[in-house]
Amino acid sequence: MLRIVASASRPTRLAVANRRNIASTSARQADITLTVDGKEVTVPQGSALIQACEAAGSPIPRFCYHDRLAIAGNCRWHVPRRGTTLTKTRCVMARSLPFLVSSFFYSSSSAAPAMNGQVVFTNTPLVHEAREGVMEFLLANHPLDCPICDQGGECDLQDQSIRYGSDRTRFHEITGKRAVSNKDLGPIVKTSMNRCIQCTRCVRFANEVAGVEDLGTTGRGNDLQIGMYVEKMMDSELSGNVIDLCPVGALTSKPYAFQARPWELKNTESIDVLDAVGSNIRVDSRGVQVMRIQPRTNDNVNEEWISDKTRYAYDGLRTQRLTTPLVKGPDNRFVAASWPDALSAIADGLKRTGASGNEIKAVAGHLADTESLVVLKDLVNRLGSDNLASDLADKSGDAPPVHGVDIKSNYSFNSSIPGLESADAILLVGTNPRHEAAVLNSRIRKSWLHSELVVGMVGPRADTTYAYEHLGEDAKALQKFLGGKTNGDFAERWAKAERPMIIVGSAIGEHVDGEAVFSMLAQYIQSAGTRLVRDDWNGFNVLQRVASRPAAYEIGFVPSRAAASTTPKFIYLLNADEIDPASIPADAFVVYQGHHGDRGAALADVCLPGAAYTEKGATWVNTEGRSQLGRAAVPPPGAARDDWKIVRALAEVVGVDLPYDDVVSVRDRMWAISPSLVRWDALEETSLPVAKAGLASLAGKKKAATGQKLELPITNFYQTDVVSRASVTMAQCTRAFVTRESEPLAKGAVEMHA
Amino acid sequence: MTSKSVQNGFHIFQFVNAESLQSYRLQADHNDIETTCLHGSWLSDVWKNTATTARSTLSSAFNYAIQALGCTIHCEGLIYGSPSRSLMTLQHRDTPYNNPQIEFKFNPENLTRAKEIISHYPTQYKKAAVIPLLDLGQRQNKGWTSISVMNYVAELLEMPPMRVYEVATFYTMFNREPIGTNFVQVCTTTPCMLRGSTDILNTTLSHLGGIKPGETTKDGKFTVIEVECQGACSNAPMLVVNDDFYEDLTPESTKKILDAFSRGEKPKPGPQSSRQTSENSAGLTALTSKPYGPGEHCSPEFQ
Amino acid sequence: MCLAKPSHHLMLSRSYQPAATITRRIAPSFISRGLASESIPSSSPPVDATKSSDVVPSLSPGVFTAEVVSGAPFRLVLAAQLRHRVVRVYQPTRNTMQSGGAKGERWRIDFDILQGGARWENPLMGYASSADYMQGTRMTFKSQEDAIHFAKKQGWDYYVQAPTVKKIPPKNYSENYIYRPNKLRIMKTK
Repeated sequence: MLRIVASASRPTRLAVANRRNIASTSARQADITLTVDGKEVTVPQGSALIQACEAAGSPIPRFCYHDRLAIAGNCRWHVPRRGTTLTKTRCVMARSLPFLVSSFFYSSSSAAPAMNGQVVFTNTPLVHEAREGVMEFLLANHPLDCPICDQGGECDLQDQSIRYGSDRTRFHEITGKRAVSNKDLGPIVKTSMNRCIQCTRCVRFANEVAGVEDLGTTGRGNDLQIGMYVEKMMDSELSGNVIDLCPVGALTSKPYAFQARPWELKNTESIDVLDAVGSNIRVDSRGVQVMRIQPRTNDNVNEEWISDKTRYAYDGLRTQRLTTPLVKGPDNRFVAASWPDALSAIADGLKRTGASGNEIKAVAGHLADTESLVVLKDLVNRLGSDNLASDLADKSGDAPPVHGVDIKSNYSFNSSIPGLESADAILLVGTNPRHEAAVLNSRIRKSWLHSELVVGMVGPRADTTYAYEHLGEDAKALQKFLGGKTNGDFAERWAKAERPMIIVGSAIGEHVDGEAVFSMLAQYIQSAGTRLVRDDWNGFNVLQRVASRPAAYEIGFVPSRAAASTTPKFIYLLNADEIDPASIPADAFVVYQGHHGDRGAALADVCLPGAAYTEKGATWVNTEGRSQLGRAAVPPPGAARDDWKIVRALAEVVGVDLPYDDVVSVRDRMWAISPSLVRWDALEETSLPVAKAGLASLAGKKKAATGQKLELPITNFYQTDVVSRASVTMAQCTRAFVTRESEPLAKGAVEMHA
Repeated sequence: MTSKSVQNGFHIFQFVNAESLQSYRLQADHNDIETTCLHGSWLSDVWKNTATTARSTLSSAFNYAIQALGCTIHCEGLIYGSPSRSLMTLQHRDTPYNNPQIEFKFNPENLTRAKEIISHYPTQYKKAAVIPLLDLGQRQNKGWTSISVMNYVAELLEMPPMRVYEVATFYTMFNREPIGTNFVQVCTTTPCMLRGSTDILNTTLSHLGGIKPGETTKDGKFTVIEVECQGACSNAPMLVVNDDFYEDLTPESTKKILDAFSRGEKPKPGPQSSRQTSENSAGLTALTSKPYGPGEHCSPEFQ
Repeated sequence: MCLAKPSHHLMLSRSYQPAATITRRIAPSFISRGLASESIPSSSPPVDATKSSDVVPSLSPGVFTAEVVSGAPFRLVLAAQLRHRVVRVYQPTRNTMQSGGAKGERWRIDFDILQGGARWENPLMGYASSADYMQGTRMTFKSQEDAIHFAKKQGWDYYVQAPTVKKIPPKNYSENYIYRPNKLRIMKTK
C-alpha cells in the first residue's frame, strides 16, 4: 500500500525558506489532479508522474526509479504515453540505449513531474511497442545467463522482459555483447558487471543512504560502468542493501551465492535482534536451515534497510550450536545428558550450594527474549531472590542501572525513530549510532541531508556518515556545553533549535560517570523548560544497543540494591555471553541457557540448549519501547527448546509453581506486568507528567563527574554477540573492514556454506 | 621465449606457443604462477587462472608485468578499433608510475590560478571548478591526469574523490595514462576522412616509426591517437598537436610539422596551405569590393 | 492503573481478560513491576471475577466451527490438535528484491511452527520432512475479513499482523538541482 504524503518522511522545512521560486514545482501546498488510464487521481504537487500512476493503480515498470532514492531518470523504461502533452525528453546519458527511437513521444515518467489536468495512458499499443523497444535495447548488452544467475526468480529485468519484452532478438553484433570486468566490493556483495543495466540505484544508495561516497560511474556512453575506479571495497555496514536494490543480477549476495532459489524458500516475517533497533526482517528458510535474511519494509523502524550484521550473521546459526543438555562431570568435562537429568542436576546444584534469597542470581544476556525473561524473573523471585543482573561491561549489570527502570522514558528512545526526521539539532553523548544502531544512523543521515539538521558529539570521535561538531571527550565537556560555555556553530544552532534531541548511548550507563551524565542532562532538560520535553516532543533519548535490554528494564529485570551486594552461590545465565568471568565466584553453581557454545557456556556447570531468534516465536522490545513479535522460521536443532519452556520446566523440578503452561498465558502474564509488551507494533509514548517525573528522579542524583573519557562500547561492528561471532561471513567482514587483513577469502565462504 | 624482470623480485616469462596463444609465467618469491591466455584476452580471465593465494601479492606486479610485456590484455570493456586513450581503462590499478603515494601539488603559480578559478563560483558550489582544475593539473603533470592529480583536485574542492574520478573518466580529453611530449590527435571523422585524413594518419604513424594509434614513440616524444571531430571541418584534414590545430594538411606538410616538433621547434599553427584561416581557397566570391564606410549611403546631413 | 484498550490492529482473538484470572493466583509481591524492594506500587489489573479461568474460544455468533459441521467425532485427538494452533493473518510484505507489487493485496494465513519434531532433514537425501501436516499450508484470501472468518471457522487461535503503510514523499527530478545556500552536504552524482 502506498501513500504519498506531502510532509511525511522527508523534512521540508528548509525548502520553504531557501528554495528559489523559479522552479515550477517548488511550492508544494496544493494537490493536483490528473487522469491516468481514464482514472482520476489526486496527488501532492511535485510528485513524479510515476508516483501518480502508482497511486492510480497503474504501476509503471521501472528500473532506475526507487521510492527511497533520488530520481535519476536514466533507464528510459517507465514510459507512459501522455495524451495531451507532447514533451521532448530531457537529455540524459543514453548508455545502453544508444538512440532513443521513442524519446520524442515519450518521456521518462520518473523524471517527469505530474502536472495538473494531465491525461496519461499507460496501456496502449503504442506504449507496449515503446516498452518492447526499450527492453530490446536493455537486453542488447545483457547476458542471457538467467539459469546461472542468482537473481533468477526475483529479477525485475526477467519479470519485465517476460511481461513487456519481445520473444526474439534482432541483435547480431559481431563483436558480441559489452563486457565489463567485475569489481571486488568485499565479502558481501558479489558482482557480475556484465549484467549491469546502469540504473545507478547502487550508486545513489551508497551516496545518499549509506554515506559511503565511493561508488560511482566511470566512463560514458556504452562504456559506462559502475565501480569505485580505485581498487577498494565497499566499506559500509549497510552494503548488503545494494543487493536488494539491484534490479538485475549484477550485484548479488556472496555468502548466498548459488545456495537456493527464491521459490524454494519459506518466508517467515520476523524481527532482528542483533541490535536494539528491532529491524523488521523476513527469514527465508529451506528445510531446517535459514538460507538468508531479507529486510521487510516498515517505515516506523527500518524503512527498507537492514545492516550487514542483521543480514549475514545467519550463518552463525549453523555452527557452534548447543544441541543437547550438557552436564559437567567430575573430570570437568561436559557430558551430554537428557533433559530430565540436566534439570535434576540443576535442582541438585541449587540444593548443594545452599543458595537462598539473593544468593540465587539470574543474568540476562544480549539475546534473551521477553517471554523467557518474564518466566525467569518469576522463577527467581519465587525462590526469594531479587538478584536479576545483566551482562553489561565492567560488572555494571550487577548493580541497579543508573537511570532506574521505574519510568520507561528514562531508558528509551523517546523521540521515536521516525521522530529523528523532524529533529533540527542532535547531541550525541558517548555513542556512535553507526555501530550501535546502523539503520537508525541512516535516518540521521537522511535527515541531515534533507534538512538543516546539525549534530554535535560528546565522546570519542567516530566515523559517522554525517558531519558533526566534536564538543569534547568526557562528562566535563558535556557539562561545559550544557552550561552554555561552548562556542561554535553547533552551540548557536542548539540554542535556537525547536526540536532538539539528545541521544545518550547505552554505554553511558556502564561508565563511571554515568550517573553524573544522566543527572546533568536531566537538570539541563528541566531548566530548559519546554524546549526538550513538551507535549508533542520528547527530545531525551537513550539509545540501547542490545535487543534484550529494553524488555529487561520494562519488566524490572534488575537487581535491588541489597541483591547487588550479595555474593551469589547459584548463577543462572540466560544467553549471558558477554559476562565478565571474574564476576562469578569460584564455588558458585552456574547454569547456562542459550543457543551457542560461547563464553557463557564455558563458565557453566550445566548447559541447557535454547532456541535462537529464528527458531522461536518471541516478543522483542526495541530501543523505542516498541514491542514486536518475532516468529519461528525453523525448528531449533537437536534437543533445544523454546527458552521460556526450559525455565518453566526447571521451575517444576525445583518445586516452584508458575501459573502458566502455554505461550498465550505467558503473554497474559506479560500483559499483567506491562500491557505495552503485548501491544505489538504499537509505540506507546510516555505521558508528559510521567516523563517529567522520570527526569526529576534522574536530576535528583547529585554526583560530580570524574572527567574520565567516555568510551564507545562497540569496536567491531561485525562481531557483537554469539551469533555474529560464530558467523563466517562476519569474520570475513572483520578481516576486510576492521582488521584490514589483505583480501577476504570470499571463495572460502562459499565452500564453508556448501 | 622472452623474459623480463619487473619490479622487486617479480619475473615474468613469456612463451609463444602458437601463433597467438601465449602463456605467461609470473614468478614471485617461491610461487610460480603460470597462466595461459590469448593475446588480447580478459585480464579477469587471466586473474581467474591465477591461484587465489597469490593474487594479492602479485596484484601490482602482475599489472605492471602485462604492461611491460607490451601485450594487449584488455582490462576493461571491449576495445573496438583504435580506442581513445582515456577509454582504455575505466578502473585504476596501482602501477609504479601511477599510484596515490606519488605526491602531486599545484605549483604556486597554478595554485594562484586555481584559487582564481574557484572564486568564479559560489563557495558552496566550488565543485563546479573541477574540470578547469583537472585541466590545470593535467598540464602541470606532463599532459596526463594521474590518480594523484585527481585526488589532489578532490581535496582542494572538498569533493569525494569518486566524484572527480567520474568527471575525469567521462571526458576523453583527460589522459589517464602518461603521454609523450607532443600529443598528436588526428581527426578521422567524416569531413576529414573525405578530405584524406586516412593518409594523414598513416603518414603520421609511419613517420613516427610505425607506431599504432594510442601508442607512444620509443623516444617518448610523440603520442598519436585518433579523435573525433575537432570542429575544424572547413580546414580538413587536420590534426592537433598539444593545444594547436594544424589544418589543410597534406602528407608532406604533416611530415614537416612532425619533424619540427621532434627538433623541439613549434611550427606556425593554423592552415598549412596558402589560404587565410578558412577563406575560400579558390579566391573570394563575395566581399570582393571595398565595404562601405560609416554614413556612406546616408542623407548628407548624417554624413 | 487502568487497562488501556487493546491495540486495535494487533490482538489475539482471545480476549486478554483471562489475564486477570491468571494473576489472581499469583501472590501480589510477584506482580509488582520494577525493583521488588523499591517504590512502584503493585499494578495488577482489575480482577474480573465473573470470568471463568478456563480459556473459552470466543466465536462470533453464527460461525460454526468446522468440527461441528463436519460430523467428525467431537473429541477426536486430531480436532483437539487442530484447535489451539496459532495462526497468523497477515498481508505479506513486498519482496525488497523486486519492484513489482502483484499479489500484494492478498491476505494470508500461515501456521506458527510446532516445537520439536516439526521438521528434520532426511539423513539419506537431505529432504526436509515434518510431522506437522499443517506446516506447508499457506492459505490466501481476498480480504482480512475472509481470512479471519476462516480461522474462526476452523477454531484456530489467530492474530492479525497489521500491514505497514509505506510513506513516500513526493519525489521530483528537479530536487537534484535545488539551490542550497549553505555548504553542500552531498555531491550528487546524477
